[in-house]
Amino acid sequence: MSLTVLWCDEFVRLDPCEGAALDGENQAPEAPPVLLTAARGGAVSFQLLVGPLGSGREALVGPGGLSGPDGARIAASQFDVFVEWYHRIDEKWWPDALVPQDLCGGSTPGLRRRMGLPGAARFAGFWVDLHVPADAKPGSYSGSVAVGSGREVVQVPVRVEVAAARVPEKPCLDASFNNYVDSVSAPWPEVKANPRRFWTERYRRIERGAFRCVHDHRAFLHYLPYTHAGYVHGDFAPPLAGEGPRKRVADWSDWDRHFGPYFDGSAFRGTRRGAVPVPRFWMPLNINWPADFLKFGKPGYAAEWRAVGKQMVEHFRRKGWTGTSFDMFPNQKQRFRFVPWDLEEARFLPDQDVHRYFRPIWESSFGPKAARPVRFNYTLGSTWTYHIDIRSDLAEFIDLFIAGTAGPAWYPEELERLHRNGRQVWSCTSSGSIVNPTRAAAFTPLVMWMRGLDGFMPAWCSMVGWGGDVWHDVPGKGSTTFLYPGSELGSEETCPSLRMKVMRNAMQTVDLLDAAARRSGGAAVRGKVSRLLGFRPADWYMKRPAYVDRKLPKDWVGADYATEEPPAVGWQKVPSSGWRALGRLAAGMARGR
Amino acid sequence: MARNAKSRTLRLAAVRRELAEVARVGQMFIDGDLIAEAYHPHSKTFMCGDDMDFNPAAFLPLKMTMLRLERLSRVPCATTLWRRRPDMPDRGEALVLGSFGSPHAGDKPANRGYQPKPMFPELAGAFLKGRTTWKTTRSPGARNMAERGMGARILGLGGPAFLEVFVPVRDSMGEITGVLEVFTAAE
Repeated sequence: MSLTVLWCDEFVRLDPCEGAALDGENQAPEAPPVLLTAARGGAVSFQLLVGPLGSGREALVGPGGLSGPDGARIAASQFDVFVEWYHRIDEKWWPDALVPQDLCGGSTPGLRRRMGLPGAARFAGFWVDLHVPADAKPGSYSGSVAVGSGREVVQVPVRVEVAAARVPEKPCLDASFNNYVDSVSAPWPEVKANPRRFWTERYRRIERGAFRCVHDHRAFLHYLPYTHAGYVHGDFAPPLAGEGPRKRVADWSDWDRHFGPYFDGSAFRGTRRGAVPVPRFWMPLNINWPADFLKFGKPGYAAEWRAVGKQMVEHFRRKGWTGTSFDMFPNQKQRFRFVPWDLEEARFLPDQDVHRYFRPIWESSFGPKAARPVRFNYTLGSTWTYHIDIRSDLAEFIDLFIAGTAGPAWYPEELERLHRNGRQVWSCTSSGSIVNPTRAAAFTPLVMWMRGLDGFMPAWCSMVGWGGDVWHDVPGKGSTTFLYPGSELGSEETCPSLRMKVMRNAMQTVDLLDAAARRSGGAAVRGKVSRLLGFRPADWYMKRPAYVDRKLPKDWVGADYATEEPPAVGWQKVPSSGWRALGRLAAGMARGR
Repeated sequence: MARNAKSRTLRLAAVRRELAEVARVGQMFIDGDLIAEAYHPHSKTFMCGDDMDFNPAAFLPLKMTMLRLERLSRVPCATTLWRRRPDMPDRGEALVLGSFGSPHAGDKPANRGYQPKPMFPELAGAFLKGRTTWKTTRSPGARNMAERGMGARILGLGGPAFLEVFVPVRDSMGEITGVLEVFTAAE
């Protein structure tokens, strides 16, 4: 039986037994040529389904260079090839983890055995990214990708229409892959077992692998370094000495060595996006650091914040770390019983007075006037009380409101004022699991941009759910696992997921839309998007239920929630064809400079 | 005995003496009247995490006393203050955690299906009979806590394990309103 190669885009996933579509609108994979449209400076993706593979046969993908207008070339090195790893969920085999082909040598019998694939699985899936250089000449490019298995080699023609539009280097939305220390070392038991691991190069390489992987997908790992007790892990805070106004950082050297490369961008050298500083970073700042919580409410508590804060600002200035927002995220909640407040997601309004207590301390230590040109942000997780907080004095102080999905969608009229005053608003949301169509991951950045938000957390809680055996039994069907540890392949690197790729591509689309909006106005661009996808502009928001303004959050009950109307938009309502059309619209609207 | 004894090997008897002493001091310094006030009235019988609402005016003095007790100790230790559920008197529930959570404090009360657990014998002994009780809990979690500086090598105990002492705390009427747990982690 001869080798067949079919292709599909990112909105169709194919099962490895019959090659049947698992999602999309059941589109069958197509015969080559692979036809792509790309903007410059961005990545464009496609999948290859290769088979049937005889027993003991491997499959390999070897991209070649592309030829374009007037002798222009896109080098073969601009392709990244990944082997799709299949996960058994709900009696089906779903591709999600993407193993760099360089790491595993292709879809080998050994790799497929590791996946646990049955003998009936005759197909191998590949994900291919093409990174179009920012200075590529617009026009039509063509070339081929060689797919080999044993002695058979199939040349798959690839045609790419490179648009004049250029994907901005800096994403217009913050995509926070929130996560908690130490969630990265568990897949390496010998690393996890070492109580001094944070100081080892090995741990740091593993951690850096996760940061780099997320960075390359237009997002950032937001890695919260302290517990609900206020304990800061390992070396995630520099050592302190002294008390009261004499409290100080005793030694920066180890902290700088560990984290400095994220702030000057050198940790990201060699990635596709290059050595760009991480845009945001969770600091160890919390109710128990740098000040001793035992002194809370007393003069010495504020004095310790101010003394260490001043020193920190001066140190960061000297280092020139001005490309990162250093964020404080008060995360402690009373349900953990270490503190008597919900410092985020407060339901009872008096809890917010803690932030009012912090305001003068923060403003004099880390506020814009005190810290410029270094940027520190005080963030507030505000879900139940978002609508009250943004209309209170907190809105004069909080730099970033991290809201739920509903709050900003219920109160769109407040955003302009918040933005005018320099405030930022994100939503936490869900971007689906492995068994949802990949459109769920694409929809998140789009809906956030359509609502005018500044960023989002794609999933509540964690994006690196590496507890247990994520490769063979991914927890929660992958809803909190958007990247995978390379430990399965004997590597310290981090592997992306297929959904992460889809989200990145959608972020590129949004960045193109945003570039167009900056030229021709946000309302016009958003109007075009709505019309294309069959929505009214108001559909992107949510109808505010009456109880929200009538009652305080502490009095909301189930009967109130039952009065809420489902949002008019959703990934379920945008078919794959809509996404493809949106990609073309975005590239067309954002003309190159 | 140095205060930070983490790197030292200590004898079990000496550790027990120190924990007992800290607990004895705690019985005197923890204000038993505040225990009933630690939750706002509407929250005292909460059955899910979202309904928990502490009263900082009572919680904070309790917490600060617990932190001071931990620092008083010459053995790295942590404290947990327990209450009896007013609506389920046979249930014990961790009320305030000091620097680290007791191995018996359980997970955070969830939003659905939270059920306070029945008192374990040592907790019941302190609550119902006013006794000082001891408990050794074998748990790999002790290693994690020791990693964070809250543990010692304890000769005669083995590890990883928690060594815990429970003492009753009384209010101004002489009633037992809480139980103070003082514990350390054996590496």
